[in-house]
Amino acid sequence: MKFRIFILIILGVSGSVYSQMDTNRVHLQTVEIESDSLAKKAYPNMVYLEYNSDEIQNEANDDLGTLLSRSSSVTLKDYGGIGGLKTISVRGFSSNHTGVFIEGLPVLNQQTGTINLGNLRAENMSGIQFGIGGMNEPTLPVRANAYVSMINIIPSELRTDYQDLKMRFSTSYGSFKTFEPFFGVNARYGKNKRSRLGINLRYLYSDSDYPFTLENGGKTISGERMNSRVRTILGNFGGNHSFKNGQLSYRLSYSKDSKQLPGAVILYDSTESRQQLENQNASAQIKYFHFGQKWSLLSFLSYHTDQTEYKDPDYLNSSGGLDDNYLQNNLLGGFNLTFKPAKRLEILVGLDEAFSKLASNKVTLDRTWRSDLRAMIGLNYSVWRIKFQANALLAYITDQNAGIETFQSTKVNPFFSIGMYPLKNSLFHIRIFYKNSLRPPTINELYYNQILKNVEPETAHQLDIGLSYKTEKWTWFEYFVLGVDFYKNFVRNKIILIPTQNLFVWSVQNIGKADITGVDYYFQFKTSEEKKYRVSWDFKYTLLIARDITDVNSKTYNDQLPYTSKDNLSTTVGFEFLDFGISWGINYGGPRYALAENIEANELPSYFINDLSVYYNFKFKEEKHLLRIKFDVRNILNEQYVLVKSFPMPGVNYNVKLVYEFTR
Amino acid sequence: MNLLVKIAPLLLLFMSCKKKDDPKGNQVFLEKGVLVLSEGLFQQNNASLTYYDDKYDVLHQSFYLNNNDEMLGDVANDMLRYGGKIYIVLNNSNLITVLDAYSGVVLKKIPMTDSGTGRSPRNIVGYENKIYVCSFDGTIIKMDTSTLYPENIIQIGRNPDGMAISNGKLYVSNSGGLDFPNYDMTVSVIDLQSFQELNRITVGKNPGSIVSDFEGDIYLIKRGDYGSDSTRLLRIDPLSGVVVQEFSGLNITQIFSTGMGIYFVHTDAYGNHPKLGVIDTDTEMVTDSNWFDISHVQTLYAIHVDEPNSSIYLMDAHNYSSSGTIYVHSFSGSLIRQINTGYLPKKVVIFE
Repeated sequence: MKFRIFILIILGVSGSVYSQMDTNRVHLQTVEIESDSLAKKAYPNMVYLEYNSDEIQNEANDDLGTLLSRSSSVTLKDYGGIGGLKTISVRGFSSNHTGVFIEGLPVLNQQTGTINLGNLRAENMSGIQFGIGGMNEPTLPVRANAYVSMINIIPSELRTDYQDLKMRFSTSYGSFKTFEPFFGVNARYGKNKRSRLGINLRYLYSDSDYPFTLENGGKTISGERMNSRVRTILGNFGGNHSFKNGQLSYRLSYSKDSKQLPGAVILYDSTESRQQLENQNASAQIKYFHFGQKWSLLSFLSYHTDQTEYKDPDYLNSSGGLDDNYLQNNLLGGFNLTFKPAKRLEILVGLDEAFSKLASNKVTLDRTWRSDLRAMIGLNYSVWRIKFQANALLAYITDQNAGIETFQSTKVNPFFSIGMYPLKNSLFHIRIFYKNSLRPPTINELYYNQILKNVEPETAHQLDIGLSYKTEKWTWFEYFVLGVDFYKNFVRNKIILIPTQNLFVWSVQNIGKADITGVDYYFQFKTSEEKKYRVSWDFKYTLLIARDITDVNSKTYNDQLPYTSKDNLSTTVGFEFLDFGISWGINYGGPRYALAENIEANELPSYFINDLSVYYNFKFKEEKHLLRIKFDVRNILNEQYVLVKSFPMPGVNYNVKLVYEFTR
Repeated sequence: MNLLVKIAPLLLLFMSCKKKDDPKGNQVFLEKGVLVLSEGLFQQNNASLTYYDDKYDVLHQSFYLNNNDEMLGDVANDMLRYGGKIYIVLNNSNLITVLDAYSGVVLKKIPMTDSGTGRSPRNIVGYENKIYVCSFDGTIIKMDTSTLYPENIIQIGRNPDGMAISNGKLYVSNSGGLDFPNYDMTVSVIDLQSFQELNRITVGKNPGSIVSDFEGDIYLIKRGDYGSDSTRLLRIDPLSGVVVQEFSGLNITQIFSTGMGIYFVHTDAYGNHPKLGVIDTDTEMVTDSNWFDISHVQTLYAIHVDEPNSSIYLMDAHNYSSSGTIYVHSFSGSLIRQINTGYLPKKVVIFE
């Protein structure tokens, strides 16, 4: 333990980084990256998608959850409304297998493991990178390899799509009394303009009450979601300074969030929820990346504090309701050292450590400490048009609850991949990878009910074979991409909560097993910007057979996992003419089951959601000034559907957004 | 014999009561068979009624849906057949649904709310043409069975969780379960004539299931704190109103009274490996603590004993994420029948 603390102190002095997370939900902070970043070249061996600022802004995307639901391999779980919890499942794995990073550093939530992607709003993102697989990446902590998939957000305060100065003011008003203004300034300054600075402020208010209809047997009931009001204020400050052989970046963030929770729609219950969630969190991070001819070093440090209060005045205890308080503090630090001992060989070693402390008025959770160390060695070797990558990631996790060591786990997870361009002067690419990763039990899983068992981390195995073809600046295409990925995944030691003596006493056991087979197919193009008009088309389809193979004697054996459609399709067609743009997005999710048993009573019907977005840009004074008006119609066919049983989604709804931007 | 008892469940898995399932659309009447209430999972709105029609050997898995064209509700905690009606307590729907005991059609839905707050009803009993409902909000509501309107309400201890009637008195266990770990420790005694709480008997932490026998003795489970304070079965003498007996050495988690006998389930210290036992209500002694092998039951969620037909219903919730099964055994332990149910089978009513 002393050794690890010493490492953190050294790192703190030498440079670096980050933070930001939360207990139940996380609020956005932001990061940014050049749209055609180094990342694409660095990660040819993994499944990799990127969204730039225009792509985020042009479609009817409010938040990261909605945006990623248009990606292949991704299934969105959405509890409805502006404040509703949104999580994603990637390739049939539970949401905790996806890591969320901001400006290259992880958003940790050791208490629940859940990051609410609904809190990560479009205005705070100037870029998104989404990868499935492994990587030996000098600019990211080794923890980025700890997940099945990872999302990296480039926040608006660290955007780079300007020369000297960018000012952006936007305000949107939409259905359900939703109002969201944003103001941000970014500037370059100093000698040779080597420094950048960004600051922004966002406020969100929404009543978020909306009407719905639900099937009840052969009848249809209608109602209105109530107690859904959301109020959020978020401020971010960040910057960086480039040296001859390095870059120092830093970031501060604060948010305050108040949400009413409407709860599930309960048949015949005439009462209204009065539950409420109050959250405040603050984070600070610093990161330094030094690069040379033969070696590079990344070091980082971050701190994040997150305070959550959950209130339910209708809970029938003697104190007149629930008032649960949680305070989570996370400290993270680490380094990566990459060096090239030979022309074709690159070796990466890295280590990072996260300390988390949870305090709560819930006695079983109070005074919980978690130490989470990850260390990795990785090799990159290139020969001909082939790139080999391999790494081994060590996870050493220990917990203390009320002063007693209660959990310890040491695991090593390997990754191996081959990426190849078999044809000369062609971007036809083949990749194969095997990745093994783990998902440790969360603090809630281990201690919420005071039942401790010998729980092991959940293990994920991924085997992927992918073929893709990409061409750029070809005839009248700006780019043209075609790809397919076949994959086979296994989950072992799946963490499952099981009631024991009654529904109040739960036990956590590693008894689940899942077998997942899938195919992702994707196709994208955009026509060249030389013409007055441009057309883009993005099509993604996923076939996912995700079976529960836990117990051959169980009624659920071989059944499709809950909330996992076999068929998922999303497509977006865009058309731009001069300064006018229109985008039409379709999301289809096939029938799913709300529970593990594939019986008719558990089936949730398929959904087919259409969103339309129209915008016009007024540019003047050499395009330094931009005035933009955008109109979104979501769920244009007014489909009544659920993504989570008993949590109906909104029908047709509208949003108008006005943006003024000054760029120099 | 033992071997036969052990393999019988396996054999029946292949020849069980899948039967001709649910000829939909036609109304089903409750004549001769078994009506099963399945609690359903929290916020899934999937509480359900299954009816096994013994006359035609048909299983109507969605009996309530079939006869009423709607779902039953969320978290069904209790069911009572009393007079010509069936009363279903829907805890999370904050509702009592009353059905006709022949047609299975809804007669009335009685909201269980108080100024916009749900009462969270838990259990129901009937006595002299009145029904009594205890709710987690600490109340007992008295209703007339003909008008189906609440007549009176009294406040008792914290989170009442079980009721039993003996000699004109209602005994209610006050669990205090929602104040974990600061449980209630009392049983309220209510005079049903005046509908007044007479006194509270201190019994120990977290009292739960409570039943009476033909002599009027009260048996209840004090669940303790699921830790060092173990779950125990206690007997209250109705005359003195004090705990006079503790069945020590057995972690008894469920009880069922037929009046003549008290049948119980006990487990090891961790709540696993359930076994069946019997108490003779004459001698108040355990006559058998390992009645017959029930290892084929994955999660024994509730039991029901049908003494006239010498059969016992073992309600298996499996892993809580799949629908349930009822194993019907004879008193000798042989498996008579297997009934597929909804999620978390909780209560059985036999129609003869």
